[in-house]
Amino acid sequence: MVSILESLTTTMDYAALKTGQQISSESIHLDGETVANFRNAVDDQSLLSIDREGEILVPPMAAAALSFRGAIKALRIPGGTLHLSQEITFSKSINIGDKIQCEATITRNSLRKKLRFIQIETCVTDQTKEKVLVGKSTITIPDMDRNE
Amino acid sequence: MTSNPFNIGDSLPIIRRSITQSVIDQYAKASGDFNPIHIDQQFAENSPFKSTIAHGLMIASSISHMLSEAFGISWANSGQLSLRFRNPVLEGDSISTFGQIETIVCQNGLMEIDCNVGVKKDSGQDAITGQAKLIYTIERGTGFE
Repeated sequence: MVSILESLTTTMDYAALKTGQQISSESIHLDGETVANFRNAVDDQSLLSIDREGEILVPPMAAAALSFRGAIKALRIPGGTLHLSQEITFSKSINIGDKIQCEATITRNSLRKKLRFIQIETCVTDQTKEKVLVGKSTITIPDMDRNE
Repeated sequence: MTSNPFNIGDSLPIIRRSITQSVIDQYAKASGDFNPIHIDQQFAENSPFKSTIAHGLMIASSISHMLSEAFGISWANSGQLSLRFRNPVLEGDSISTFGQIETIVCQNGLMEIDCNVGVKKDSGQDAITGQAKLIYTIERGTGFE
Protein backbone atom coordinates (compact mmCIF):
# COMPACT_ATOMS: atom_id res chain seq x y z
CA MET A 1 0.00 0.00 0.00
CA VAL A 2 1.46 3.39 -1.01
CA SER A 3 0.93 6.29 1.41
CA ILE A 4 -0.10 9.72 0.11
CA LEU A 5 3.27 11.20 1.17
CA GLU A 6 5.13 8.39 -0.56
CA SER A 7 3.03 8.84 -3.67
CA LEU A 8 4.06 12.48 -3.89
CA THR A 9 7.75 12.02 -3.22
CA THR A 10 8.56 8.87 -5.17
CA THR A 11 8.41 8.35 -8.90
CA MET A 12 8.14 5.04 -10.66
CA ASP A 13 9.19 3.40 -13.91
CA TYR A 14 6.18 4.26 -16.06
CA ALA A 15 7.70 2.58 -19.13
CA ALA A 16 7.44 -0.74 -17.31
CA LEU A 17 3.66 -0.57 -16.95
CA LYS A 18 2.04 -3.22 -19.11
CA THR A 19 -1.30 -3.11 -20.89
CA GLY A 20 -3.69 -5.31 -18.93
CA GLN A 21 -1.78 -4.82 -15.67
CA GLN A 22 -4.05 -4.22 -12.68
CA ILE A 23 -2.60 -1.38 -10.63
CA SER A 24 -5.08 -1.06 -7.80
CA SER A 25 -7.99 -2.73 -6.11
CA GLU A 26 -9.75 -0.80 -3.40
CA SER A 27 -12.98 -1.14 -1.45
CA ILE A 28 -14.71 2.13 -0.56
CA HIS A 29 -17.61 2.56 1.85
CA LEU A 30 -19.77 5.42 0.59
CA ASP A 31 -20.95 6.53 4.00
CA GLY A 32 -22.85 9.74 4.64
CA GLU A 33 -19.73 11.72 5.57
CA THR A 34 -17.73 10.65 2.49
CA VAL A 35 -20.61 11.57 0.19
CA ALA A 36 -21.34 14.86 1.99
CA ASN A 37 -17.67 15.86 1.69
CA PHE A 38 -17.82 15.19 -2.05
CA ARG A 39 -21.15 16.98 -2.50
CA ASN A 40 -19.81 20.04 -0.68
CA ALA A 41 -16.54 20.04 -2.63
CA VAL A 42 -18.33 20.03 -5.99
CA ASP A 43 -21.33 22.02 -4.75
CA ASP A 44 -23.74 19.40 -6.10
CA GLN A 45 -26.91 18.90 -4.08
CA SER A 46 -28.81 17.28 -6.98
CA LEU A 47 -30.57 13.93 -6.67
CA LEU A 48 -31.04 14.49 -2.92
CA SER A 49 -34.80 14.39 -3.31
CA ILE A 50 -34.73 11.25 -5.45
CA ASP A 51 -34.36 7.97 -3.66
CA ARG A 52 -34.15 4.33 -4.57
CA GLU A 53 -36.32 2.31 -2.23
CA GLY A 54 -36.22 4.98 0.44
CA GLU A 55 -32.47 5.61 0.43
CA ILE A 56 -30.57 8.68 -0.73
CA LEU A 57 -28.56 8.49 -3.93
CA VAL A 58 -24.85 9.24 -4.30
CA PRO A 59 -23.94 11.71 -7.08
CA PRO A 60 -22.61 9.44 -9.87
CA MET A 61 -19.40 11.45 -10.20
CA ALA A 62 -18.57 10.82 -6.53
CA ALA A 63 -18.08 7.13 -7.24
CA ALA A 64 -16.21 7.92 -10.46
CA ALA A 65 -13.81 10.34 -8.74
CA LEU A 66 -13.23 8.12 -5.72
CA SER A 67 -12.65 5.08 -7.92
CA PHE A 68 -9.79 6.97 -9.59
CA ARG A 69 -8.10 7.51 -6.19
CA GLY A 70 -6.53 4.05 -6.13
CA ALA A 71 -4.94 4.60 -9.54
CA ILE A 72 -3.56 7.99 -8.48
CA LYS A 73 -1.91 6.45 -5.44
CA ALA A 74 -0.65 3.38 -7.28
CA LEU A 75 0.89 5.38 -10.12
CA ARG A 76 2.47 7.97 -7.76
CA ILE A 77 1.46 10.53 -10.34
CA PRO A 78 4.06 13.32 -10.44
CA GLY A 79 3.36 17.07 -10.64
CA GLY A 80 3.04 18.10 -14.27
CA THR A 81 0.73 15.21 -15.08
CA LEU A 82 -2.28 16.29 -17.11
CA HIS A 83 -5.70 14.69 -17.45
CA LEU A 84 -6.43 14.67 -21.19
CA SER A 85 -9.74 12.87 -21.52
CA GLN A 86 -12.32 10.95 -19.56
CA GLU A 87 -15.03 8.50 -20.52
CA ILE A 88 -17.53 7.21 -17.99
CA THR A 89 -20.48 4.87 -18.34
CA PHE A 90 -22.85 4.70 -15.38
CA SER A 91 -25.00 1.59 -15.30
CA LYS A 92 -26.63 1.63 -11.88
CA SER A 93 -27.33 4.31 -9.29
CA ILE A 94 -25.57 4.02 -5.92
CA ASN A 95 -27.07 4.65 -2.48
CA ILE A 96 -25.44 6.15 0.57
CA GLY A 97 -24.11 3.25 2.64
CA ASP A 98 -23.19 1.13 -0.38
CA LYS A 99 -19.73 -0.47 -0.55
CA ILE A 100 -18.05 -0.28 -3.93
CA GLN A 101 -15.09 -2.26 -5.22
CA CYS A 102 -12.83 -0.31 -7.60
CA GLU A 103 -10.32 -2.06 -9.88
CA ALA A 104 -7.92 -0.01 -12.02
CA THR A 105 -6.11 -1.51 -15.01
CA ILE A 106 -3.65 -0.07 -17.54
CA THR A 107 -5.20 -0.16 -21.02
CA ARG A 108 -2.60 1.87 -22.91
CA ASN A 109 0.99 3.01 -22.31
CA SER A 110 2.90 4.84 -25.02
CA LEU A 111 5.59 7.49 -25.42
CA ARG A 112 5.17 10.31 -27.94
CA LYS A 113 7.30 13.47 -28.19
CA LYS A 114 8.78 13.05 -24.70
CA LEU A 115 5.32 12.63 -23.18
CA ARG A 116 4.06 9.37 -21.77
CA PHE A 117 0.38 8.65 -22.43
CA ILE A 118 -1.27 6.27 -20.02
CA GLN A 119 -4.87 5.10 -20.21
CA ILE A 120 -6.42 3.63 -17.09
CA GLU A 121 -9.70 1.77 -16.98
CA THR A 122 -11.55 1.71 -13.67
CA CYS A 123 -14.29 -0.81 -13.16
CA VAL A 124 -16.58 -0.33 -10.17
CA THR A 125 -19.00 -2.90 -8.75
CA ASP A 126 -21.30 -2.67 -5.74
CA GLN A 127 -21.73 -5.07 -2.82
CA THR A 128 -24.00 -7.28 -4.95
CA LYS A 129 -21.15 -7.56 -7.54
CA GLU A 130 -23.22 -5.61 -10.05
CA LYS A 131 -21.28 -3.21 -12.27
CA VAL A 132 -22.12 0.40 -11.40
CA LEU A 133 -19.67 2.25 -13.62
CA VAL A 134 -16.71 1.94 -15.94
CA GLY A 135 -14.31 4.85 -16.44
CA LYS A 136 -11.50 5.37 -18.90
CA SER A 137 -8.99 8.10 -18.06
CA THR A 138 -6.17 9.22 -20.32
CA ILE A 139 -3.35 11.11 -18.65
CA THR A 140 0.01 12.36 -19.85
CA ILE A 141 3.04 12.18 -17.61
CA PRO A 142 6.16 14.24 -18.40
CA ASP A 143 8.96 11.88 -19.45
CA MET A 144 11.34 11.73 -16.50
CA ASP A 145 14.37 11.46 -18.81
CA ARG A 146 13.67 14.93 -20.22
CA ASN A 147 15.38 16.73 -17.34
CA GLU A 148 18.42 14.48 -17.24
CA MET B 1 -51.31 11.25 -24.04
CA THR B 2 -48.53 13.34 -22.44
CA SER B 3 -46.03 15.39 -24.44
CA ASN B 4 -42.32 14.62 -24.41
CA PRO B 5 -40.53 16.36 -21.53
CA PHE B 6 -37.56 17.09 -23.82
CA ASN B 7 -37.04 18.37 -27.35
CA ILE B 8 -34.10 18.59 -29.72
CA GLY B 9 -32.35 21.93 -29.20
CA ASP B 10 -33.33 22.24 -25.53
CA SER B 11 -30.59 23.82 -23.41
CA LEU B 12 -29.59 22.12 -20.17
CA PRO B 13 -29.50 24.04 -16.86
CA ILE B 14 -26.32 26.08 -16.42
CA ILE B 15 -24.15 25.32 -13.37
CA ARG B 16 -21.80 28.16 -12.38
CA ARG B 17 -18.85 28.04 -9.98
CA SER B 18 -16.01 30.25 -8.81
CA ILE B 19 -12.86 28.18 -8.44
CA THR B 20 -10.99 29.40 -5.38
CA GLN B 21 -8.02 27.68 -3.75
CA SER B 22 -10.28 26.79 -0.85
CA VAL B 23 -12.65 24.95 -3.24
CA ILE B 24 -9.70 23.11 -4.84
CA ASP B 25 -8.33 22.12 -1.42
CA GLN B 26 -11.76 20.87 -0.37
CA TYR B 27 -11.95 18.68 -3.49
CA ALA B 28 -8.41 17.35 -2.89
CA LYS B 29 -9.49 16.16 0.56
CA ALA B 30 -12.79 14.71 -0.68
CA SER B 31 -11.21 12.86 -3.62
CA GLY B 32 -7.82 11.95 -2.15
CA ASP B 33 -5.93 13.59 -5.04
CA PHE B 34 -3.18 15.70 -3.48
CA ASN B 35 -1.06 16.30 -6.58
CA PRO B 36 0.99 19.47 -5.88
CA ILE B 37 -0.17 21.09 -9.14
CA HIS B 38 -3.55 21.46 -7.40
CA ILE B 39 -2.62 22.38 -3.85
CA ASP B 40 0.97 23.70 -3.67
CA GLN B 41 1.16 27.31 -4.86
CA GLN B 42 4.97 27.40 -4.80
CA PHE B 43 5.17 24.23 -6.93
CA ALA B 44 2.49 25.55 -9.29
CA GLU B 45 4.23 28.91 -9.81
CA ASN B 46 7.08 26.99 -11.44
CA SER B 47 4.71 25.08 -13.73
CA PRO B 48 3.72 26.23 -17.25
CA PHE B 49 0.40 27.47 -15.78
CA LYS B 50 2.07 29.69 -13.11
CA SER B 51 -0.85 28.88 -10.84
CA THR B 52 -2.55 25.96 -9.16
CA ILE B 53 -5.19 24.28 -11.34
CA ALA B 54 -8.46 22.58 -10.47
CA HIS B 55 -8.72 18.80 -10.71
CA GLY B 56 -10.13 17.72 -14.08
CA LEU B 57 -12.77 15.50 -12.47
CA MET B 58 -13.86 18.33 -10.17
CA ILE B 59 -14.69 20.47 -13.20
CA ALA B 60 -16.22 17.45 -14.96
CA SER B 61 -18.46 16.99 -11.91
CA SER B 62 -20.24 20.23 -12.86
CA ILE B 63 -21.28 18.55 -16.12
CA SER B 64 -22.63 15.52 -14.26
CA HIS B 65 -24.40 17.93 -11.87
CA MET B 66 -26.04 19.64 -14.86
CA LEU B 67 -27.15 16.28 -16.28
CA SER B 68 -28.53 15.16 -12.90
CA GLU B 69 -30.53 18.39 -12.68
CA ALA B 70 -31.89 17.84 -16.20
CA PHE B 71 -32.54 14.10 -16.23
CA GLY B 72 -32.67 12.99 -12.56
CA ILE B 73 -32.14 9.33 -11.75
CA SER B 74 -32.01 8.40 -15.46
CA TRP B 75 -28.58 10.06 -15.56
CA ALA B 76 -27.32 8.01 -12.60
CA ASN B 77 -28.70 4.77 -14.06
CA SER B 78 -27.63 5.03 -17.68
CA GLY B 79 -25.42 8.06 -18.32
CA GLN B 80 -22.43 7.99 -20.63
CA LEU B 81 -19.87 10.80 -20.75
CA SER B 82 -17.04 11.31 -23.21
CA LEU B 83 -14.98 14.38 -22.34
CA ARG B 84 -11.82 16.15 -23.56
CA PHE B 85 -10.01 18.46 -21.16
CA ARG B 86 -9.15 21.40 -23.43
CA ASN B 87 -7.68 23.99 -21.06
CA PRO B 88 -6.89 23.85 -17.35
CA VAL B 89 -9.08 25.80 -14.95
CA LEU B 90 -6.81 27.99 -12.86
CA GLU B 91 -7.35 29.08 -9.27
CA GLY B 92 -9.42 32.30 -9.52
CA ASP B 93 -11.27 31.31 -12.71
CA SER B 94 -15.05 31.24 -12.90
CA ILE B 95 -16.74 28.54 -14.94
CA SER B 96 -20.16 27.68 -16.29
CA THR B 97 -21.47 24.53 -17.89
CA PHE B 98 -23.24 24.35 -21.23
CA GLY B 99 -25.30 21.62 -22.81
CA GLN B 100 -27.86 21.12 -25.52
CA ILE B 101 -29.97 18.14 -26.62
CA GLU B 102 -28.84 17.07 -30.10
CA THR B 103 -30.86 13.93 -30.80
CA ILE B 104 -33.77 12.07 -29.25
CA VAL B 105 -34.76 8.57 -30.30
CA CYS B 106 -37.96 7.20 -28.81
CA GLN B 107 -38.25 3.42 -28.67
CA ASN B 108 -40.37 1.07 -26.53
CA GLY B 109 -41.39 3.86 -24.19
CA LEU B 110 -37.81 4.98 -23.57
CA MET B 111 -36.02 8.07 -24.86
CA GLU B 112 -32.40 7.77 -25.95
CA ILE B 113 -31.01 11.30 -25.59
CA ASP B 114 -27.70 12.60 -26.94
CA CYS B 115 -26.34 15.99 -25.83
CA ASN B 116 -23.29 18.09 -26.46
CA VAL B 117 -21.88 19.26 -23.15
CA GLY B 118 -18.97 21.21 -21.76
CA VAL B 119 -17.56 23.78 -19.41
CA LYS B 120 -16.52 27.28 -20.42
CA LYS B 121 -14.34 29.68 -18.48
CA ASP B 122 -15.59 33.26 -18.11
CA SER B 123 -12.70 34.25 -20.42
CA GLY B 124 -14.62 32.40 -23.17
CA GLN B 125 -12.09 29.56 -23.35
CA ASP B 126 -13.41 26.00 -23.36
CA ALA B 127 -12.23 24.01 -20.33
CA ILE B 128 -14.00 20.78 -21.29
CA THR B 129 -15.99 19.70 -24.34
CA GLY B 130 -17.75 16.43 -24.97
CA GLN B 131 -20.85 14.33 -25.44
CA ALA B 132 -23.34 12.81 -23.02
CA LYS B 133 -25.88 10.07 -23.69
CA LEU B 134 -28.56 8.51 -21.55
CA ILE B 135 -31.73 6.48 -21.65
CA TYR B 136 -34.51 8.56 -20.11
CA THR B 137 -37.20 6.74 -18.18
CA ILE B 138 -40.04 8.46 -16.39
CA GLU B 139 -39.70 7.56 -12.74
CA ARG B 140 -41.03 8.63 -9.37
CA GLY B 141 -39.53 11.93 -8.28
CA THR B 142 -38.36 13.19 -11.66
CA GLY B 143 -41.23 15.64 -11.90
CA PHE B 144 -42.66 14.34 -15.16
CA GLU B 145 -44.90 11.52 -13.97
